Amino acid sequence: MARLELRDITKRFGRVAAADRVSVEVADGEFLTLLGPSGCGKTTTLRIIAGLVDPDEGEVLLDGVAVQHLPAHRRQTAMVFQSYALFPHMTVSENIGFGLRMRALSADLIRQRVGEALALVELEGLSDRYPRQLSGGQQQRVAVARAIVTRPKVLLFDEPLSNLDAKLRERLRLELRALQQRLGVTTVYVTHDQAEALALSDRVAVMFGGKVVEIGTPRQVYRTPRARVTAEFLGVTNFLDGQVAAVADGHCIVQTPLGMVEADAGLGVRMGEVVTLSFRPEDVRIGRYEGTAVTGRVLHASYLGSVTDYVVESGGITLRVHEAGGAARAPGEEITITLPATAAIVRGG
Amino acid sequence: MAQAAAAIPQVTRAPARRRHESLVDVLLLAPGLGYLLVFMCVPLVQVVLRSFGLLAIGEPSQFTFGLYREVLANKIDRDSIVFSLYFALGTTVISLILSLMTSALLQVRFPGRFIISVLYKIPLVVPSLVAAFLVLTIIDQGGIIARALQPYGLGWPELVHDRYGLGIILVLVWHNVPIMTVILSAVMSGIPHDITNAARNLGASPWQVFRNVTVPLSLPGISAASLLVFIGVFGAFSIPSLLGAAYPTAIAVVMSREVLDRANWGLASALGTIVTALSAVLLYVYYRLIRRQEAALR
Amino acid sequence: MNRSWIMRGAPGRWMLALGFFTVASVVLIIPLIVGVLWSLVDPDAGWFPPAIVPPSLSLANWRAMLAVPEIGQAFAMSFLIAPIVTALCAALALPTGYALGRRQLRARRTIELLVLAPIILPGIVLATGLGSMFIRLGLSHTVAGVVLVQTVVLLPFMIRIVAATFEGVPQDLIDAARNLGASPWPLARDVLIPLVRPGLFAGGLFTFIGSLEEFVLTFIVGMPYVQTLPVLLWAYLGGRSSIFTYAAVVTMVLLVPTIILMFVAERTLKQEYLAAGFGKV
Ligand SMILES: Nc1ncnc2c1ncn2[C@@H]1O[C@H](COP(=O)(O)OP(=O)(O)OP(=O)(O)O)[C@@H](O)[C@H]1O
Ligand SMILES: [Mg+2]
Repeated sequence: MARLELRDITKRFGRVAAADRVSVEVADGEFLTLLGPSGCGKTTTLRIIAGLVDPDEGEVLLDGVAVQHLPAHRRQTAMVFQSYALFPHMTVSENIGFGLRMRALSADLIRQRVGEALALVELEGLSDRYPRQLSGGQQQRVAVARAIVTRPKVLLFDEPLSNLDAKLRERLRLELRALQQRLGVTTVYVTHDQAEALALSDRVAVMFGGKVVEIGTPRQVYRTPRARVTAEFLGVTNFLDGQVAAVADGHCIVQTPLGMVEADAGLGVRMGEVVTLSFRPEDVRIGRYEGTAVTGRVLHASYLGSVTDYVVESGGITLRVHEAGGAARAPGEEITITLPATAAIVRGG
Repeated sequence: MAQAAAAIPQVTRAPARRRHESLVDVLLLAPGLGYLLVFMCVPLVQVVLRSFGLLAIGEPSQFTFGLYREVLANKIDRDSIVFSLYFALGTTVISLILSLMTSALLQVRFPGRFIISVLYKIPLVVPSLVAAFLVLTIIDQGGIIARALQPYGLGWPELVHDRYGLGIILVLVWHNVPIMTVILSAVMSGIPHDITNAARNLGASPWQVFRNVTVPLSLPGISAASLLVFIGVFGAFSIPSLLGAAYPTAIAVVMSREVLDRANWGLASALGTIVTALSAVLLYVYYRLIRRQEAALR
Repeated sequence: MNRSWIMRGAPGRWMLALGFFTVASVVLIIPLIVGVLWSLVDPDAGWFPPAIVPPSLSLANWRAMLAVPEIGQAFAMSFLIAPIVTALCAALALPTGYALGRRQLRARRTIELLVLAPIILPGIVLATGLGSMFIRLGLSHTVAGVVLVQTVVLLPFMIRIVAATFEGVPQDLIDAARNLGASPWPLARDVLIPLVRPGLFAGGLFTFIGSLEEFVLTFIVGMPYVQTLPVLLWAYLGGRSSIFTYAAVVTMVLLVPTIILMFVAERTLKQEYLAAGFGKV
């Protein structure tokens, strides 16, 4: 168990900065997710933590001790690879015991710990199989068992669920989270799947172009993102430009073409400033409620099962609106919508 | 994608570390490359120098084109080059046709495919001399075919030691088809089935698929295999020396005679340089073609 | 391809199989059988046209192999040289192949060309160069000289196969091992070497067979004192009056081990290794 800290980590590949002054702190036992689009530098950051890539600049600290000069095999991190990287010439139990053998533990202890790990991931019967004789989901569990059995200070995951089908992915997601909480091990998890990030993490670090643009709890990054790219990456959102009309104790009122909307003013918002608001489709309600209500016309409707996704036009602005239940509305229908009681102010591009 | 990128070792490193890494590279490369430098490059350079009269053995050294003039003036030498080119080309073309057919058919599942895929590789491990012997027992005047035809009063043409080198080509084809087939099958099995299936789905007959999809996509393998076989056969010694006629003879046979019978290292070196230069030119042309192909595919 | 696109349905496949087996027996099996028969011809009865099969068979030629010293000596010579050449090639190719397969090299193109050269160069050209060089070094007509020349032509195959094998090890596996605490030596012993073992085995086999078969360089450098089986075969087939019966015996002695090795190793001698050896110019 340990506290992990990255300080100004930078890594360039030629002209590409795969990690650009990345600074993150992960508390003891915390589950942090690095979330971002493909090529944003998540894997690079993870591999720097594991010591598989040397940073050009910056420090990696474990419990306050700089470890960036330690070779990979002495880092006491354990990684679950996207490809699982199971050794094809070793059985399941040999794979799981590998890290313990490297630490020269006694054969008895290794057998005992491997048995525990197998039980933990519910693979007891498969200990003598070879990786090629396992399904994708089983291979994934072996990879997890192999990582946790060494009792690492930090557990690292690089998109461990991305090779599995949707159903299994969802189930294993829950199992992983439960396992991590049971072990209480500090964890850094890489994914480009926002749903996964939100479901698993204590905190999410959103990365773009090698930079960490935002860190917060799943609720914070989803509901009140600070960066426009975060809002965009974490699902469907509405952007609305406006001018700050009033500021008071952490809140402000923004004058938009559609009317007044209240927003969180955490970022030193000034009177008269032009800002962009972001709010989720499910925060817009169909019908007249307390708050700013406007009339609009349905341009397009798609039924998604749990919600219906409407594209609504009002005063030359199109908004996405999600309604759970409710009557089906046809394109062309006039409706009244109520803007959310509070929205997020986002900055950048 | 991320995996592919991750597989590339890091490029940016501190200078001291980089120097250390280069030293490791050199140390690792030294045994294999050092050996080749000493036992291949040095003798090769000697051959080239000797072909210009330098480093001569048992004669005064002096730069001269005399040896080349001698080669060009001598009908036996000239004919040996032409003859070698002739059977190398013949062997390559025939082997290519046969191995294209074989490897395309080997992509199809059929009963006993595994056995065939082992059997066809037998010639790979058969020494050329053994191949010559085996084929000799079949196609020679006293061979099995001639014997089988005799009762019916049918004659069997002279295939061994004949002017046209048919026996030579036959044995060389026997020996080279498996080499080409190994290369071509590897390339063909690398073509995604989706692509051939898509072509089928778009209405192409099996032959059209072969002609318009499989062959073009195998082109890198085809050209590499052809080049390899051509150059290999062009300098072949044992089979032409055993199965060839007294005249014309292969260039390698002429060279061995110069060396072994006359100890005329100079002339052999001139011939060797010609063979090497020809191979090098072919290799160069091949690389140019490949480069263009790769550029076109990008 | 579970659905053949060339011939649909079972009858087509059986036809294809029939075709393949017919061609294989005419082109491969019959010559082998005739070769065996020649080695079993009774020297007293001979095997003269128009007999399709020898009038009587005997083991006389095989007994002669033990009686005729040169066959036994050539056999011993071949099987003395092959393991030495294999060991030498392995020792030289391991580090170099590792570097080519796993490290970022600046002059990679040039190095690859250098390794390719002996495969492309006609043996007779190399023999001409090495022949005169070895005369000067006093290596001509010696076993050491023959070992050295054979290594020149076989080393490139070994290097290429070793390099391809090392290249084929996924980086993730190495990273995973390091991540789990493997320092360089255990990493090599427990992960890298087990993963490359089939490739190294294939390379060794390739080299061993290659050495048994090598003729031109052995002939020119070793003549007439170092006589391996192929050199003897050449003598029986062309050099002196051809002695088919002895040639057949030598042929079998050369063929049987290589074919057995090939069948045994079929699973390890994967297409990739062969293609790495021959293909990819
Ligand atoms: N070894 C390398 N050599 C050169 N460039 C690299 C290397 N590794 C990564 N990169 C580059 O660095 C950038 C970040 O790569 P990284 O693998 O960290 O992305 P990622 O966020 O994990 O993406 P993905 O979600 O696709 O896995 C990319 O532009 C990539 O091309
Ligand atoms: Mg990645």
